[in-house]
Amino acid sequence: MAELSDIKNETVRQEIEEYIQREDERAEIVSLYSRTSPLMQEIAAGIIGGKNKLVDELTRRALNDEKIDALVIMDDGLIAGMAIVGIKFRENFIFVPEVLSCARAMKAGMAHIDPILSASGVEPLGRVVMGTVKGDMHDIGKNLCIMMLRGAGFEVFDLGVDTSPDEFIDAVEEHDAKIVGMSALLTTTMPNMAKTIEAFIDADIRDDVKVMVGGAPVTPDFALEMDADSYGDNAVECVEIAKKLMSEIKSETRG
Amino acid sequence: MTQQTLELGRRIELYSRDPNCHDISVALYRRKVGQSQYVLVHTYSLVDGGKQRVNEIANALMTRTGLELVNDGEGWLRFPCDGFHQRALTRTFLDVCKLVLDDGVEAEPLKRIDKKAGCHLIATDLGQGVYRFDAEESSEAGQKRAEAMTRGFVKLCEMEPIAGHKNQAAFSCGVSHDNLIGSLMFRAQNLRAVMREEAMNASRGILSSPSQQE
Amino acid sequence: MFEATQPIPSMTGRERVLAALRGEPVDRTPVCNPTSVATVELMDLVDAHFPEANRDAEKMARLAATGYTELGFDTIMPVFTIIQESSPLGCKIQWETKDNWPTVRMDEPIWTEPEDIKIPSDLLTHQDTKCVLDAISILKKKYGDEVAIIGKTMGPWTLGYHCFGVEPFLLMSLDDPDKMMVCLEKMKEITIQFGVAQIEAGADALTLPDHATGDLVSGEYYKRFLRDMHIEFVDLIPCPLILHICGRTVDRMEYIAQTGMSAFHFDSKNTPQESVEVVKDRIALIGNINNPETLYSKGPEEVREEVYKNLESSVPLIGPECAIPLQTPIENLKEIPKAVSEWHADRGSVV
Repeated sequence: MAELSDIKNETVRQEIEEYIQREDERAEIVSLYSRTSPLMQEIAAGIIGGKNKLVDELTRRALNDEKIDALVIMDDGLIAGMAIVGIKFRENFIFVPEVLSCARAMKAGMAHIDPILSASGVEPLGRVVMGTVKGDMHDIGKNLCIMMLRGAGFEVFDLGVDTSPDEFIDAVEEHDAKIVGMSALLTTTMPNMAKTIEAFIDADIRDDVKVMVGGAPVTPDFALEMDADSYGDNAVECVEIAKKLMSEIKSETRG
Repeated sequence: MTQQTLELGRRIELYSRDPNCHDISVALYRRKVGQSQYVLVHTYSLVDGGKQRVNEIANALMTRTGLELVNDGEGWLRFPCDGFHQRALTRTFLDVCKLVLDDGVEAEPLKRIDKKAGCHLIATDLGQGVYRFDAEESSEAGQKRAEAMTRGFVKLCEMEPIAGHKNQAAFSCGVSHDNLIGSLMFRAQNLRAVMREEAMNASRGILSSPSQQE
Repeated sequence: MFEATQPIPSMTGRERVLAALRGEPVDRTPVCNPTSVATVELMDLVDAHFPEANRDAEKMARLAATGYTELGFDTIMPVFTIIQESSPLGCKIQWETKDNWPTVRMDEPIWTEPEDIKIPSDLLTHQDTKCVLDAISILKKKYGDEVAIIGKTMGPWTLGYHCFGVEPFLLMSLDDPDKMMVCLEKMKEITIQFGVAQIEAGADALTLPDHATGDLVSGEYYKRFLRDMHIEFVDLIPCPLILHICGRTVDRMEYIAQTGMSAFHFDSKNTPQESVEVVKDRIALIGNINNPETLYSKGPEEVREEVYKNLESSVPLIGPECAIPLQTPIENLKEIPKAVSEWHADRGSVV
């Protein structure tokens, strides 16, 4: 069984010790990091510290000098780092400014990874359309989810903020997306999530997609009330939800 | 100071902006009278044509749901079964509000094409509020879709599933409601009412508070 | 809540609200809306619809008055949106439709550096701020003896979101906190100017939304960047100030209570009891009926329950937690003052 001491990077060890308090999560994170190389752990530490210039430099080094596979860098360096960030955010050890800083570091790394993955022709896990609902201009949570989803291998179409039901529907049809992700940060715009789902019913495509919702004021009860398929509490959970929904889609298609 | 807002009971649905009539807001109110539940289509707008539009919506709602006028001259409606099918009613109300109603509407048939089944799905009234849903052509896809439609009606019309018959459901009032079934076949086809028993029971427990079960 | 030893003579809504904001005895708990209680049905009732009611003084006043004339609140608050002053600043405003809120396009920020911050010469004469001042004057003339007229001026943190964009503004707070403070200092002038103008127009009190919410930033952030500025506002804006911050804020209520502001308008993510325990009698609490789950989605019985919970925790002014959804049912809003009156009648109590 992997131990904390198997992790070479001191920053990562300290982060896990101080901030990952749930036993099952800690075991999972320790196991993940114990398998990764020191350079990947350094990248992850850079992500956790929000050090975008460092992550940029290390990612280039990993690709160009060490010839490490782009997918490995993404999974073992960038996403591994964001996993700890996500937990710290969930547990209120850090707040949105810090998360934005980490996301900026992630973007710096992904700027080198993305072109390689796009050129490689790897089949995406699924197609997701993401947007903040009509009347809502906030996109922090949505952007984090998009980054995580892309990092995990989904093809994501970002509709931005203030997205009308028609725009969601057009995007689903244009991109043949199977998952719709909606975000709202205001209590006053939450009803627009229900309106969007209703528009999907009107357009006779509700059965063709899975809808996941999230955002600070959104609750599981509200998601159930509006007949969404899933509700997510944070960006890291968003990836797991999307994977679960894709797997439901596949088994429904097989019938 | 005289209030202009009225005591109309409890608002159960709102169509917040009607583009067919100067963006007026049209609401559906509900109140209890004796043992019966009455509903009213209402707008606070005094714009030209607003009252006429409300009448058109009310008439269309009667055609599509089977609601009848209560003879009080104030436009209140009730189900002849004396039961109350709120979910089905509010759903139909919203659908009707979206229509241009200059020429009124007709009741929807108990038959509707289903692209996934590749044929029509048909609702048959078995009496005592029980309906059976079948595909016109027998196939596995058709059967699945008929069952999915049944589950959709269970959710949309708060019908009771019939044990042992995945394609049958019943209104708890024990009375036929062809109008409601016809109006909502379109919705039932598209509603992802996957019958997860815990979710349905849990959602009933959470979503309806004691005060909603008058 | 101050326990009076003798029955308090019947008060007007205005007297009641102002007394409660001063921490003095009242005849019954006031019902207060520091934020909008406009609904689409009320818009129809008085023929004053969004978006025009946010840009035309007569319509703004007419719609706002329904909070008193129809719903029975002790206040009238005509500044429905949080974007009025961002318009003269140069932000791109999306005015939307009757059943949707106007918003600032924060994805098209107008400022990036402190040097960009400029207070325009027409800050108080621009259509979207002047209509607020005129609406307050109209309401003061018509209802000023009966109810408290509450204005609204946005705090510098919220103005920062609007003008810099949320992400760049929050990143600035980490990357360069000194620059952040310079920006806040410059923007606070907008808060003060618009606030004072509303007092001169007749406002009895002002809501001051400054969205350093727990959903975005820590309590320490509030202390570090805003608390001292909020203390300054108490001196520089001569009327009772009602601070409004959405979301989970109990971790910063201690700092908020130190500001000297008259009241804090708090969200349902904080229970009445825990909030009262933190602030004690240093600042009046206003709230905190849940909007999306109670006022919008449920019925009068559930509204009553929440009103009672607040009263039983000694929250001194009762109201919705934030601007209500535009589709909120009227009967739920009417239930708030009804429930407050009946609670007091049941107890034969004065407060």
